[in-house]
Amino acid sequence: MPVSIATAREISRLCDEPSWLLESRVQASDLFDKLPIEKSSLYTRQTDLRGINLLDFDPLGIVSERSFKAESESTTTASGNCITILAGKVTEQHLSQQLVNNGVFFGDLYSSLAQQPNLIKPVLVDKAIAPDDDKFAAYNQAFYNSALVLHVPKGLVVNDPFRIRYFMDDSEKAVVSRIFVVAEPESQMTLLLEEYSKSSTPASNSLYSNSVELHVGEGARIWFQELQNTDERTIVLTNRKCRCRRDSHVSWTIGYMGGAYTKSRIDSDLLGEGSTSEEMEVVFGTREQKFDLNSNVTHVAPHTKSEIISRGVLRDTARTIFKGMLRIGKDARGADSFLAEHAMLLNPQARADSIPALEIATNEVKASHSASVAQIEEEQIFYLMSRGIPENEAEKLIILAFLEPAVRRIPVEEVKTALVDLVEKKWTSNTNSLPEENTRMK
Amino acid sequence: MAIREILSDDSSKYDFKDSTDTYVYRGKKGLSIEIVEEISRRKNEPEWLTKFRLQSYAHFLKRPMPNWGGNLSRVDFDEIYYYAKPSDKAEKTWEEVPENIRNTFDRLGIPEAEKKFLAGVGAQYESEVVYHSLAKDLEEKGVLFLDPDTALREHPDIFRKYFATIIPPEDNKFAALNSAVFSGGSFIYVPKGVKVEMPLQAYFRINAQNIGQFERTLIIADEGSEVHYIEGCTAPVYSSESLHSAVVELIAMKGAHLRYTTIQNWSKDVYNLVTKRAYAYENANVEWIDANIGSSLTMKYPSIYLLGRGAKAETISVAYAGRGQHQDAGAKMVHLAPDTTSRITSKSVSKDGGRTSYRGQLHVGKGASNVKSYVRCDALLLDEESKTDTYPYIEVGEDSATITHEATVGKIGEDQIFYLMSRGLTEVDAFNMIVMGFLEPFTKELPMVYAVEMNRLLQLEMEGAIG
Repeated sequence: MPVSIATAREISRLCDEPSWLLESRVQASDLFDKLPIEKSSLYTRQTDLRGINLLDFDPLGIVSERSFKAESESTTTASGNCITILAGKVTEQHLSQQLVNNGVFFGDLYSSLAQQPNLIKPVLVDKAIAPDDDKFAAYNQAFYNSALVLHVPKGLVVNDPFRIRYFMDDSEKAVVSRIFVVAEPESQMTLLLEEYSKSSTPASNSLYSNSVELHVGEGARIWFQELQNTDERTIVLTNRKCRCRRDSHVSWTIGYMGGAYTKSRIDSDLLGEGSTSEEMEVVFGTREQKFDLNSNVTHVAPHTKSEIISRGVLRDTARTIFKGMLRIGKDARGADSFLAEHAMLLNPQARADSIPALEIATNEVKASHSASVAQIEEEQIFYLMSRGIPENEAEKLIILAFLEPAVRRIPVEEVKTALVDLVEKKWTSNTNSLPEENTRMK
Repeated sequence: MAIREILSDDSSKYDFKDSTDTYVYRGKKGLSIEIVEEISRRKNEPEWLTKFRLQSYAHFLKRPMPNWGGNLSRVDFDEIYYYAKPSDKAEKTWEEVPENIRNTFDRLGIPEAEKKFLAGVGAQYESEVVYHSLAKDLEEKGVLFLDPDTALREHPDIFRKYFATIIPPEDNKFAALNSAVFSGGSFIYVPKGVKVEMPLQAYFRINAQNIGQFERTLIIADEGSEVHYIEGCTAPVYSSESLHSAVVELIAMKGAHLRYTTIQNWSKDVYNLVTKRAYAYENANVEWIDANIGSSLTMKYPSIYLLGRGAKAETISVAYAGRGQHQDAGAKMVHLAPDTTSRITSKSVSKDGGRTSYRGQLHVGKGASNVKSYVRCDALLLDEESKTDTYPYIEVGEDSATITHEATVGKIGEDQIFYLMSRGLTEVDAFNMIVMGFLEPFTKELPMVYAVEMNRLLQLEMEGAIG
């Protein structure tokens, strides 16, 4: 049965949602039907979704197969603060007693709504990721079958990272997930998000749609770290947004390794004076992978600062398009913004496009961007080989060196190591197998 | 003219209106099949061209308005005169040009410039070319510098062979419009190996209110030849909009060197929607030097298709946007052959709420190996109301390409002003000097007289930059 508004209603019913949640699913479903694939006339020509029909994937099966509430309340013997979701089902959930005592919430949306309705309902009603602005956001908000909340109270600094792991398995299924993070003023946290595949029938595709909202209170800091390492049959659609209040900071790190087709969008809204955001993106595309990566920073308040560093390496017939947009609004005097999109092509059939755009509406600012596309230099390989390094190894070294300016800036050491590890593994094996213990972020 | 004298000129020089009573012909407002046919009939055109115009008109009607770029909602195609003929024919000597038109161009300094350093001049007034001259020695070498009507009459084969081959009417709505109603412009053919050392110039003037100017320029530089073409544009200030929509096609054959310079200084109620494209064959070199100072809205992205091995392309573009102006300009480089290189330098200045946008495209096609391209866009915002956007599209489908793009946006640093003032400059002079310095990559490419003119125009625009 193809996905329709009835699917949204059925998911809502199975999850026993209140009517206002059902209503917003219905609205989103309607918007999903109406919106064009790309709303911005800047990118219309660059967006290519041929051969992908979101309606072919079933977001309902996952919900009907489980008892949503019961599952999510179960905890296992896992240590650390983690939630693991296998095919849409929570299989592991753990939060240290100390954090529970400190008032941290880390669990599914429905429990959160039951426990702290005044906290999370306004966030949902607010729709930081506007469903009328993006067809894929509308899809996500109509058909989500998994939703998590992380709430850290005021002034609490959590040093141990929170981990969320997704494992995709059943083909033709859609894992449609939402994550809401609320960082109260002066709190600090690290969130690690990992995505892997475990396909039982590797002949067919699956869909992974995820949205992440970071609500960053005054003076709060969030380090959001994501490694996307699904198999090369998964369609990956992600929308992430942070809303930064005064003097807050968000650091995004995203490693794009897996996925057949990845469409990713990150919006950083710097709403409070002195807020800052930084974004490191690392892409390693091989074979027929396609990556469509869109990063937008909007400087609304004065003295805000942002930086985007994207580095991509593309082999075989892989393709990437970097769409970066820095907007500096009228009142954002003293804003400082930088965007860099650099790609390296390893084969004549690989392709990299960049659209690094600036829209600046006031003059007391610093804004610049740079973009480049280049090949691996024969001389560099020759030089390394002349030092006794085999060709394959030399190429790998050059690639890692090329990615280094982004990797070096990753603020969480274990993510840095895991990412380099993944690049090396992919270089060697060119497959995205299940993580072995040592590649998992620990 | 001494530089001091030029600098003391005032800007009202271009803002005068001539009477339109003496025009030989002026069509009705608005566009229809009849108007298109009328233009073609008055020009005595062969059937194929009439047909071409009508097909273009049909395409124009079908094609939606672009939904990107500037705000086009105030362009009213029904309020425009599409054809006006101020004089019966293009004269060869200055004295033969009707007196009132001659006075106009005298005031703009065209004959003076011609005497000084130009190899040839064409002057267009409304829809028709009123004056054309070419240095004798060039004529003897076989260089053609004509208006399109004459070119079609005297050299029908060359004209038809190349006309609309670079920019077909289907390219965009405004190219279709131009193809339907074009009149005037330049046709230049430079034979093999001929080097035209002095620039050729055309001057375009809109005089009447609500008039559309749709000139068509086709330049063919045959193998190993060299030519530099300069166009200038002015119009008096009216309160309602005029439309300028030109099509410019350039062909640089093997080893040819073709440079096209524009100094666009339309009055601030002109919509300037222009399609410019060049083909560069093996080892050819094409340069667009493009300054946009005037107009209400300019949408112009000169492009170069690098079709032959070793071709080189360069675009240097300067935009200035003051109050109420939007300069949406840029450049497009399409690399379709190996070992081709291109460079785009864009400099823009916005002031008093003006808006500049750089919109560029850099495309490296399959098989175009060893392409090198460099794009640099710098924007200067002189006050906090002004806006600037940069939209560079970079599409690379070849691993051997080396592409770099850089853009910066900034304001004039107080320390820079302070430093210059500490050397005895006034604040205004310091300000001007910094802006001129910022634009210097452009002005240094212009012939001396134009560079001076350009600086003067900018200084006039900048007046009052320091409150």
